[in-house]
Amino acid sequence: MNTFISSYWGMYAVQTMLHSIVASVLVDCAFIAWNIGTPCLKQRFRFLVILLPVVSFPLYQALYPRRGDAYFRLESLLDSNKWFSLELWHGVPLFMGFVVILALSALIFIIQEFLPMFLHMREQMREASEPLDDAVEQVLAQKVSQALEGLPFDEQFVEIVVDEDLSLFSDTGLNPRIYVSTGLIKTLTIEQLQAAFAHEIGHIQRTRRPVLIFAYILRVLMFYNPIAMLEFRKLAQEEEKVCDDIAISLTGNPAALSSAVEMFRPDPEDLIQSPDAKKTGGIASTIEHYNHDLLLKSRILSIGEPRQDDCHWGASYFVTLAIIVVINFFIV
Amino acid sequence: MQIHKIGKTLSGLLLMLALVFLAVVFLAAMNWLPSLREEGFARQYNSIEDAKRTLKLNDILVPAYFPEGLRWPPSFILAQKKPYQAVVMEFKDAKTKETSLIVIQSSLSGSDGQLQRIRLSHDREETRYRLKNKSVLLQVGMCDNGMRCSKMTWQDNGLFYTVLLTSSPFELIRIAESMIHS
Repeated sequence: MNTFISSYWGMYAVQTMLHSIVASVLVDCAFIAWNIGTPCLKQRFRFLVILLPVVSFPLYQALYPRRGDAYFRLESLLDSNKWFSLELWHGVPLFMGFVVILALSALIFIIQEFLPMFLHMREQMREASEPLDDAVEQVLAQKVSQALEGLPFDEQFVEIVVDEDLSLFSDTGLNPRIYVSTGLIKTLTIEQLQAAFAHEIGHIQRTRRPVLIFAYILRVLMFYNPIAMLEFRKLAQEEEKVCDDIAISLTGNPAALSSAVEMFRPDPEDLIQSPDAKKTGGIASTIEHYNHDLLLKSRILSIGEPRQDDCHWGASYFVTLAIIVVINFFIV
Repeated sequence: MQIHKIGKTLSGLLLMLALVFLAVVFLAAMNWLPSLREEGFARQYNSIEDAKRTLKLNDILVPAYFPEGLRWPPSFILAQKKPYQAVVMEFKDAKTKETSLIVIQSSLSGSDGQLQRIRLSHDREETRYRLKNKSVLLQVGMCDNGMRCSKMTWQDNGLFYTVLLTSSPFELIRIAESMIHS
């Protein structure tokens, strides 16, 4: 343990986690202090929580190489060594708990993020080799065409997928496309479909400034850090709200967007755990549905809210950044 | 409108500073809490006896030979039992009042770098030889405070010893010799 926490990479692992916690708390304090509610502004603040811990330790060490010394620790605001060498039971130090947290976070990253992404990519490759079902009814194509009227997106880049589930997603690559299921076209009204398309156009427009991709790369680098995982999820949730704002600005119809989002909420039955849920691994599924529903509910509430701040780099941002940088310097 | 915006930013700043103050107090409390539960974390001691008694340390090696011009007792004593055992003693030069001698004993190999206030930054010469039947490493060069200095390290009974003197190696060898028991 001593060799690890005294080493450069050991200190890096410990301090990225502590710096993430402090940055996360201070960013939430900034939200309260300046009453920040605009999703794109919140996203900028949350990005700090992901970015700063990755770079802070090497920067601090480069500026002040003796930061890891015993003398600096004596004067520090928080010395992690004290907590890590506390004995829990039978001489086992608290550091072991820290190692377990890191290991669990890494495991969650692999199971919940890396594997599904890998499987999804494999599935996409397999699907691409299969012939596409082009038996799409003329009525549905016409409905799509009507929904796209007035939106800055060409109809030929909308792919209709034969699927009775409600599904809508976009490929935000070099040749952006929107994929919509037949089930969704049938379920939504033209106004709702237009709002949903406008939301996807928002995603496509925002890939020109790929903050989320950059944040994801940083999050992958901190695969062991649970705070980075939570903050990235919050960042992604804010992204949905930013795209909702874009959709409203494109359509001018918040009610249609709100009702379209409502359609995606899971069935109440899915939110109730069945008696045999344990056997079928349904607990995880119920939690997932519940979280998804919470996000959608929060989006619906946010759609109606007037935005108080502009999405600009204000003094509040730089003050928060400075406070995080200064406080984290004294956390070793 | 502009005045309203500035007012909002300033009132936000005041609230933010108050929240930051609370966060700092919380962090300071978190730094202090482990000391309530357990003893042995790094802190400064008034005397070697005080460190020995508080940390229940049996052996703290102190040089029997002490070059002229160095002040006794140590000007600074740092000791800890956690996360590893370490004792640092600093002695000042009577004339310059600058730290001139550092004696470190630690149970963790390679930890002396984190325990030295002055470090040997430019290592000009390095030689390993036997002193009183112990393998010692003598390094001579410049310290990071710009002074000429020499450092000797050895291992004994599971503890790692480092002695650094801001002077030529001759006095250092005599100091180390007085600490090693054959």
